Amino acid sequence: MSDLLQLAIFFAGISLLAVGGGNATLPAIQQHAIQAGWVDSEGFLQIYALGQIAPGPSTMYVAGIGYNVAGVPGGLVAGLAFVIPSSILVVVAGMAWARWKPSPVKTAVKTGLAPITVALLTVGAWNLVTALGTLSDGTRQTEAVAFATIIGIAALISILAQFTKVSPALLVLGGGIAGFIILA
Amino acid sequence: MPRQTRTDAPSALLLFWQCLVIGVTSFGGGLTAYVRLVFVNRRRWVTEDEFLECMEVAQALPGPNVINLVLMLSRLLRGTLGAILGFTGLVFPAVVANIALVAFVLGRAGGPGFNAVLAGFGAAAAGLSIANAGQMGRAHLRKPMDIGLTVAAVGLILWLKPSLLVAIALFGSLGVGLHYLKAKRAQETHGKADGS
Repeated sequence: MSDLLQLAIFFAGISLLAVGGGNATLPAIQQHAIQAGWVDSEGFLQIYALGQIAPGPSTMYVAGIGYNVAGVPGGLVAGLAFVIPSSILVVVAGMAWARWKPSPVKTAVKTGLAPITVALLTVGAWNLVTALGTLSDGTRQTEAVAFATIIGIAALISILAQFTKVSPALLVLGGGIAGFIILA
Repeated sequence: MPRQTRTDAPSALLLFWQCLVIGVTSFGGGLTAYVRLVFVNRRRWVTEDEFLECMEVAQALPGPNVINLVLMLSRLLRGTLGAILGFTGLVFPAVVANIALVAFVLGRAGGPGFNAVLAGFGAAAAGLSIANAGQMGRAHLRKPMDIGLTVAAVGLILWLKPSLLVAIALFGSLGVGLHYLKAKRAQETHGKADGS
């Protein structure tokens, strides 16, 4: 099967499973992309991290994964396959949802997915934090210091993001600067 | 105070242009607040209530929340064509930028210093994701049942590493099922209270 077709099939499938937003799919994409040989572990982390400074929705880092596999067409296919199926669903089902009168079923669908969404976001963040240590190989810090630094940055930023109004863009930039100062 | 007045719907071209501007000038997440600022406060294309209604759908259906939100708002303003234009304006710059970053930065840069910066960006993204989970948790996970389900899901996913489909099918249906029973019971109790 051609690379483009494989990218299209995988990302179109995962698009419809992105409950609670795109970031909940991070562990699944990370695992599949590495297993399929689309990118190695370090490359995945680099592409994901670079995607954080790209404009627009942060989950569009998947276009960078696609580019790594099959150049510009790969990037376009992965990026679009990841968002078109869910978007079609929104356009088709969105109005029906909005018109759906309040009922126990509607309430249940709305609130019942929160636990799995929060769980997926948490697991995604944890996988990311534990994997990021490998990016610090070759820096002057030991693995333990790198791990502690990454956890520290993530914890501090999660607090600032929840309880202050500092823009997320500045937080990401601050994370990069802190990483450079402590690890490089 | 929320504005409840709205101006006329924009032309399709203006809608596309505005979504393109958002797509090009938004960084690091938090896009929902930016979209709200533009559509509700600055342009006054939709009311606060309409925005919240679109937001509810955007969060309930799969897909990146902000893309879903822009689709709903654009569709409300200019129908299916509007949804296509809003989507294109928001998503296209991100796709191009991500491809360009990998092509031009990753290919040329490297070394420990570069990776240290990226580790920092990644740690920040993990922090934002935890913040997102925290905000969602405080809003929706108030009952012991929900907290228990979340902890069980985290533990099981980390331990058995099931596929995303299996995890969602299992914990999604459990969550929705339990909430259905609760909502049904609340409705019945409410009905009895009304009848008495």
